[in-house]
Amino acid sequence: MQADWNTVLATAETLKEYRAGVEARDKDLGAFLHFSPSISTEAENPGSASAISGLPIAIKDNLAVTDFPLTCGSRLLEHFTSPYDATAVERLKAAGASIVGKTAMDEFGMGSATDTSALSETKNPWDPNRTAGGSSGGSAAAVAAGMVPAALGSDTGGSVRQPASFCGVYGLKPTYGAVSRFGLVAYASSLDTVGVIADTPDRLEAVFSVIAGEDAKDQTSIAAFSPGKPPVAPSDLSSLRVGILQADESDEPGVREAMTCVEDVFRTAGTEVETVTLPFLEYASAVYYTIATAEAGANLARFDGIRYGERPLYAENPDELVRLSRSTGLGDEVKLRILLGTYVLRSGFHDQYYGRAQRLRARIIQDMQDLFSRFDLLVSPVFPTLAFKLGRDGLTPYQRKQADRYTTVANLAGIPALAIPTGVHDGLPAGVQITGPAGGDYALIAAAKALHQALPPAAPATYPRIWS
Amino acid sequence: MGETELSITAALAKLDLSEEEHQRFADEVKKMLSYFDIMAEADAESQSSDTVTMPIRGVDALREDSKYRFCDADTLIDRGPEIEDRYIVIPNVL
Repeated sequence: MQADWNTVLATAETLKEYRAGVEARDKDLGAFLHFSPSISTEAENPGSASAISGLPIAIKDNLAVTDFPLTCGSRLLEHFTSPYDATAVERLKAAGASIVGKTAMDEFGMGSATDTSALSETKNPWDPNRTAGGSSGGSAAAVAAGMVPAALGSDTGGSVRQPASFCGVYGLKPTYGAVSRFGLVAYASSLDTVGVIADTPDRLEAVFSVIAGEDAKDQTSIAAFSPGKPPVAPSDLSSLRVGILQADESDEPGVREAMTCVEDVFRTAGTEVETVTLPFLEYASAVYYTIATAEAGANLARFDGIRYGERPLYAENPDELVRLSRSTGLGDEVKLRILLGTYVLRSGFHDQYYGRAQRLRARIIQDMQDLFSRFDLLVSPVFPTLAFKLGRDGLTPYQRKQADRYTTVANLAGIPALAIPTGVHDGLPAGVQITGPAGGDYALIAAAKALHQALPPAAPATYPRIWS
Repeated sequence: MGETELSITAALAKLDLSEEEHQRFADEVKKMLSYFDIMAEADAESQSSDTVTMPIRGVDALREDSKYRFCDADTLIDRGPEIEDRYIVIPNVL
């Protein structure tokens, strides 16, 4: 008999069991950078109206939680703690959830396998020789290994959806602006979103509905998602018009099998299904990396060793202090992206790269709007492979960037996308991504609920569920 | 991107690169820039000169230019590595 999640923080005894259970599991996984659960007065509160009251929730380490570390997986911020809560975190706390820890991530969100982190590389709960994905790999592994029922991540180009899919759990990248970015350490501001990873679509919805909504501290947040007012969503699959992305023969068999599996569910339910192609997928990753690195170059200029984090004990002058702090504090992948971003913005190269990418982004947005005038949602792969191997046996950094083509589209277009587990292929979780028009977040969750009934996800054998 | 271009870019980004890093980043940046060239053809085909800096249009992302007091300045100051009478001690840089 599994105990309820909202009882684990209720008493000193259950808290002790919970802490021991998570610490034992995380020893091999490396999902948490910081874990300090405490007793929740909200746990088992029968009078509470919130569906997340008393739940332990983990937060990616680039989202601010008062008095918790805020390292962003970087050596430069290794000893930095946050003086305030991100708006999303503040709303979780106000709804009675308890923040139990901070999760591992690629440095500043720049990577696909948490291996650009200076602090911890997360293993996949399904296979310790494979990556949990990235950059929100710690959050995805913590949910998949049954250490928390839900976690927050951030998604700039697929960083919630790809690790969620690699670990066999649900991951939502909301519409741009649906969740306030206040308290999220910026990587690429026009692409960054705060997302949710959860064990079930119901839980994902409960968390999303709490954190979504306008916030005076983020001028790009939008009011259409005021908490408690979800738009009416079609829950009956037969009423949907669904576009299925044409299979790419170079994708791994497990990825193509997941696509076929979901298409079969829709066809059996009587859904109107049509195969579609997206010609811009060929260059979507190039557009994304041009824009993302340009914005990262500007955003990361604040890490100068003066206002934040680690710095050398001595420098000849202020300029040297900044250069030494950045050169010793930042990792290779971050340096590469800053160099690229600085280059594509330089006068003389701007139009060839950044200007061009902005024009193509406008075209991608228009093409997706046209697509959603014909369909309610689009089904596509999340990533061309299932969870890849750690180290040299996996994908090269260059291959990983090209492989971001399926996920980056939703960030470029500002639209919502949700990674859904569909089953297990050769011992690894497989899944698909469903994408909808801007503001269609709850409709995607409704579709995920229907698919959840048809394709209930499994838990990894090594980490059976203790709480549910 | 040539050697000189990389050095100028690194200086603009306030990054010191060792010789080994210089070589490695030169290769990686070159690879990414040639990947970015894939955009040239698509851009030439496109009839539109429309550009996008933010994904959601029609949202006024500018706020009124007004001052307000941060709720708890002392909490922020306390995060400084070394504090003297509400001043943050910085390393010797002269």
